[in-house]
Parts: sequence; structure tokens; C-alpha cells
Amino acid sequence: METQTIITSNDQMDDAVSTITRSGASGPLLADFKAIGEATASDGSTKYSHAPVMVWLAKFIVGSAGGPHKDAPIFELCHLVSAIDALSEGGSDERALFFLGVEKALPAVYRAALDEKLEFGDWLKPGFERTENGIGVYYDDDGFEVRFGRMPFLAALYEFLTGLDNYDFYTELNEIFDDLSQASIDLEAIKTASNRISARLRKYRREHLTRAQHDEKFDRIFGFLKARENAGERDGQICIDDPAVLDFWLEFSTVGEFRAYKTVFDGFVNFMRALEEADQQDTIENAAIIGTDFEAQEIEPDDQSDGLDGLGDWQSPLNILDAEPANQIKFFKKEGERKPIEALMQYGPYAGRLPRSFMQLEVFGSIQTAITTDLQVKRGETSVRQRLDCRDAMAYDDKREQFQTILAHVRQLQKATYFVLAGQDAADLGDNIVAFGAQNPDSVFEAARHNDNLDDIEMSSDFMADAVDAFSKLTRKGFNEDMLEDPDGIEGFRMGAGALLSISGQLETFLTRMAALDKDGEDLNSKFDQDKQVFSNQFNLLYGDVQ
Amino acid sequence: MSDYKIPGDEKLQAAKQKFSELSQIDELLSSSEKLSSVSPSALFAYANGAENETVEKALGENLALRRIYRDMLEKNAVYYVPEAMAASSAKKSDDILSREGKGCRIRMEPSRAEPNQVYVIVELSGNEKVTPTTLVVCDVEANCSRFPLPKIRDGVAQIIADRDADLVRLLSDPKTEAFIR
Repeated sequence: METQTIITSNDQMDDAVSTITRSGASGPLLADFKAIGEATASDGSTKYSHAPVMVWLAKFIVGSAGGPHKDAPIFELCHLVSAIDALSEGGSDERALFFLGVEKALPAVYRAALDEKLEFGDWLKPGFERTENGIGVYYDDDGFEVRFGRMPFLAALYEFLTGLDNYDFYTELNEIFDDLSQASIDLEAIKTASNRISARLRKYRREHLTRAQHDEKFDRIFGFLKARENAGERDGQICIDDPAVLDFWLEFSTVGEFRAYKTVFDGFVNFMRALEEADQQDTIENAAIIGTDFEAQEIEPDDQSDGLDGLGDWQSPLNILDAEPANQIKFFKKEGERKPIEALMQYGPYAGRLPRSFMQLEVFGSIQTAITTDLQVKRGETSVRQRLDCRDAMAYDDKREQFQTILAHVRQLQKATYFVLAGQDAADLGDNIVAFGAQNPDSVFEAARHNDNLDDIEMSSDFMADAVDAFSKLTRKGFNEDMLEDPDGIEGFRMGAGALLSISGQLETFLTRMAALDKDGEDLNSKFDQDKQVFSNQFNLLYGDVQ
Repeated sequence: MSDYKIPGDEKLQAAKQKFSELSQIDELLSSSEKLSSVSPSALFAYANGAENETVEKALGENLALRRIYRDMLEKNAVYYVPEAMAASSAKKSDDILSREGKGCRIRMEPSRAEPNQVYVIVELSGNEKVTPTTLVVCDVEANCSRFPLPKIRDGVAQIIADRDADLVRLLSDPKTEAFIR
């Protein structure tokens, strides 16, 4: 299992928080990384997807993307470089063209680039083959396949290495790859090149990544939880719950590094994940990592989702909707439908495990961000003071209603998507088959997107009528009959279907947790009032002396 | 709510390492600091003719980056004209330089009609499949200037420029080198 990352995509919040939280990565490292993330195609879109490619690259940089061998992707990259160089005598400029000349880092783009090269010439060296899914590299009675799905990741890695340390490694990297390409392909040559690159990367990590401040954070959280464990006389257990997060913030927010509530929430989430992943270390170490389907970006979208209690490699299902061709369909309007659920989707299962803390993050964390921004841009005392009493805080009940409304929208999207997918199958079978259904709409939906044997699906004209109705009422990009004839459009809906299942699952479960909160002692409104008072007091303590 | 058994020393160290990695990942992905850095693909695109003010600005400030850019230019150029000092065929007359590279020659001739103007004549004799569109001239510190080439007829492109124009000044400097792509 890979590590996962929890981030919010709330730019405003990130703006304010990043300057506070920067503690382990050096400026040059951040610059190297951000440059790759900001590389754009001529249409202004980013070359590399935020997720999974840039998320993966971040993991690689900190040394947690390669499984037991953290630099295994370098080994993989060396295979790919050998193959690209074996297609021409052009050397480094052909390499650069393949890795840097591509505008959109997508598997299909690399597939097309390779096929175009092969159309005009064959491999100049033995040991290479275009396989169904990528490039086969053969040596010493052994073989290695670099799949097209891996190429966006490897291109990002190539680009990162090329620009490493303000291009300080550029010349040496090209020499390493030139040496590799001049030799006959064999394991030894690949290993030599990989080790040279790894050695440089180790030096880079030592220089630019420090653990000390993160270790301090860990120790502080651990110490705090242990003290609570002793006070509560628990039997060798530490408990992470909503009161723990709030109490921690109240105790340490004046210290500096834990001033932002979001930093505390993130810290607790990472703490939980760290304990869980350390617990599963043996499993991780025994897992085969290179070329897993998840990283290949070629697996079914629902394979990337997770149940609320799952501890898998969670990533926001909204990211799936951002990938082509699903991004051609407007499943969500940005402000009203997507933004309110972005954090919930990013934190996924962990939001549900700390439901009140998550609500506090959503409602009061955003006010703290606004205060911080006010201070940074020097908006003045009046602006800050207006926020200190949290008078504009969204009530938990209103937040719940917002989630319910969006869930209802997701349900409509699911029906419309079902119509597209099942309707497509129906069209394949004949005009007289128009409807499918079952007791459980989700299972029908799943069956449709997986193209299961339609004979097994219980027919229900009511369900299909609902689906048709939902499709026709969604007057937005992608929800029109032309899409039914477009293979890319169908594929977009198929991808979207997995994401929608995951989104509805997260929303439903979180709403269940909110309902439980509502019944646990005081109702949601009372809890909101209490929290409002607590946060307002603390904000006054932290920012009340603003001039 | 989640309960965890208090980990032993070994597991605690593993968790600490993991916590650090997760925090570093968050930091990388959420940083919104304004950091000026040019991605290799942006530099590569610029070396291949794309316009990019950020790259231009960074090149103006960073010698190391200019050298990489020059390297990319060289690798992607259709024709290369080295600095005149190294080229035995360089000729100099009336402060106007003529210089040659493999498959190409760049010479300058004064305009008879306008004494303040000069014809920059780019002659291409190579059989390259790609039709060049840009002339890039770089000085010893890899400060490079780009000049669009007019349509090439029978292997010749002609540019008329003022005597004090950048193009003429750069080509008159024997230590500059030119890339045609």
C-alpha cells in the first residue's frame, strides 16, 4: 500500500497556511517541485495532473513512492530512457523531445509518440519491443515492461531530475543517460545509471529535506495523547477523537507552529495515518510496487476510491473528474456544487472519523484563514475584528443541509450517468430494450458501468424513466444527446460513474456521522453555538491585539 | 474516534518517519509561495520558439539557466554557426562579418540605397527537411536574442536591418554564435 496525502484545494486556505507550515522542505526544493507542477500546455492547462502525477512526484521526492526501494522509479526511468534512445541516433535531444516536448503528460500521448517514431523506423538496437501496453525491454534472459500508464509519472520524474537544484544536475544527468544509451542494454548498465542518479538524489534529499521540525510536531502530538491516556487510565491505548483535536489546538495554538487549526487537524490526520502505516509496514515491504495499476492511472476509477473506514491510498474522487475525458463533462458547478465538498473529498475517510473536528475546520478554520489573510495583506483592524466573533460562521445545520443538497445532485448525476451507460448497452442490444433496474440503484449503476451481463439485471422501467428524466434535466456541458454517440464522452461518463459512487458514499457516511453528532448529547445547533464561542474566544486571544 | 495501541520504540520510529514524509508531501503540494523557477519543459518549449515572459526574465537573471538553454538550442538547431574566431572561413571587411557553419553561411552586405542599413543574408545549402524559421544569436555569456527569419527562397533568407540594430551588432561580434532552427 502506498502512502496517501491529504490536502485541501482551498487556495485561500493554502495561501495563508503554507507560509506558516513550511518547515521541512527548502526553498529550492519547493521551487524545483512547483516549476514542474506549473508547466503548462499551449492551451494554458497544466502538463501534469495534480493527482495522481504531482501527488506521486511529491511522494517520490520525500522517498515514499517506490515501496521498499524508494528509488525504484529511477530504475524504471532508466529502462524507458534506454528504449527512447534506441529509437534514434539523436541522443539527448530525442530524449528531451520525448519527455519535455510533450504538452500533456497522458498515457495516450506517449503511446502516440512512440507509435509515430516506430512508423518511421525500427529499434536501432536489439532488446526492445512495443508491447500491447507499453515498451518491453529484454536483457540477460530477463525482461521489464514500462507501461504507457507509467510514462506521465516517469516524464515528471525526468523533468524533476533535469531541473534539479537549479539545473545543477542537468549536464551530469545527460552524461549518465548518454553512457547508458551507448552501452548494450543489460541489467548492469541500468543499475549503474540508476545508482548514479540515486546517489545524487540522496545528496539532494539530505540538503533540502529536514525532519527535525516534523519530528517535533509528532512528539508534541504523541506526548499530548499519552498524557490524556494516563489521565483517563486507558490500558496502553491512545485515543484520537474530536475533543483531543480541539483541546490540543487550544493548548498549543499560542506556541506558533500549531497556531492554525488546519495545521492541527492535518497533524492529527497525518499522525493517525503514520501509526496505521507503520503498523502495516510488513505488508508494505512485501508488496510489489513498480508498475502497480493504481500508479498506472489505467485502473477503473472506483479502484481508487475507498469506504469511509477504509485505510487505503485515498485520493479525492473529484480528481478523477478532472482527468480526461471525464473533464469534458460538467458534473459539478465550481462554486455551488464542488467547492463545498472539496475538503470532505480530500480528507475522505478521516473526515468521518473526526466529524466534529472536520466541521470545525470547515466553518471556523476558514474564518481563521481569512483573519490570517487580512493580517498578511494588512486589511486593517476593522476587518480582523469583524471576524473575531465568528458572526459569519456557517451553522453546522446549514452545512449539513448543503451536503444534503449536493448529495441529491450527485444522485441525479448518477441516474443520468446510468442512462448514458446502460442506454449505450441497450442500444447495442436493440431498440426494444430500453430499461434496466434493480432493488438497489447503486448495484444497477455499478453493473451498467462495468458493462455486466444485462440479462442478469432486473428490468425496471421506472428506474430508467428516472434516469432519462435526470439526464434531460441536467442542462450543462456533456449532458446532451451528442455525447451518447461520442466514445470519449461515454468513457468520460464511465470514469465519472466510479467517482460519483465514491462521492455519494463519502457524503452519505459523513451525513450519518453528523446525524449521530446531532443525537449525541446536545443537538448540532447547540454544538455549533458552543464551538462558535470557543473559537471566537481563541481567535480573540490569538489576534485580539491587532492594531 | 480511533483507538491505537501505544507503539513500541521500533514502531514509533517508523511512525515518526512516516509522519515526517506525510508532512513533507503536504508541504510540497500545498505550498503557494511565489518561487521563481522555470520548468525544463518550459525552457525546452522556449528553445523551440515558444514565447514565455517568465522564461525570458529568468534567463536574463540566471547564467546557469542560460547555459542550459544554449545547450538545448544547440541540440535542436537545424544549423549551427560557431563563433567567428574558431571558424577559419570567417572574413571581415568594413566591420561587417561573414561567417560559416556546416551547411550554412551568414553574411552581411551594406545597402547601396540606404547607407545606414545592412542586408543580413542567410544562405542554407544543407538538405535538412525542416525549414528554419528563427535565427538565434548568443554571446559568450549565453545571452541569446531571437530573430524571425523571413521566408526562405532557394535556400536564401534576407533581412534588412539598421547598422546599429541588435542583430547586426551581435553578428558583428566574432565571439557570438548563431543557431538556426
